Amino acid sequence: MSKQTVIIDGGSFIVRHFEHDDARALSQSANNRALAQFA
Amino acid sequence: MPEHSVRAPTTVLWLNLRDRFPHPYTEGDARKWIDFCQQYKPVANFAIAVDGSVAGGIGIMVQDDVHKHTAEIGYWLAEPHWGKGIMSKAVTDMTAWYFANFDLMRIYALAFDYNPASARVLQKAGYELEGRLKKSAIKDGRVLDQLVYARIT
Repeated sequence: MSKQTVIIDGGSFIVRHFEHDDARALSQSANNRALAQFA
Repeated sequence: MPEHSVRAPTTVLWLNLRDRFPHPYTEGDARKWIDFCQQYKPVANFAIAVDGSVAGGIGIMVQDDVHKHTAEIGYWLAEPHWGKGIMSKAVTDMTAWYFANFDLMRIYALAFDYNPASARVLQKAGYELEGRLKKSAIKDGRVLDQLVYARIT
């Protein structure tokens, strides 16, 4: 898998597979106030 | 490498999410989640990336037994990206993608009744309110109702 494996392209965002080097950004984003349920 | 973690300025994140979503969410937690996502087949959980960086997540949990054609969808987005329509479009498009790529008849979501923003996301994505599950969750010591939203094929 690679970051180029885009599932959907929403224009201002993409949905893609997680990659190992996402860990820091994931941690930082998850520690922001967030919307919704389930993880 | 030391764990890098930024404590959330408030507990709003955690209050809107299930207890299994860590708070604070360390890089170790993130690595475990990423490992799980990469090992689980078929892949059902994805990153929402804004400007190349992970800003949220979206995924489904396919049910089993007599519910095997049903999945629960869940999602979250970091606050700096709220109000831009990202989550509504992501849920809309990914719902279509999940129906196209999984053998599903029904996708549903449960929103805590004090989280109208999540309910609006579901409404914009075409989910219909099916009902209220009274006293169906306990979060941070509070007994909560949950709203059931669903889309069917």
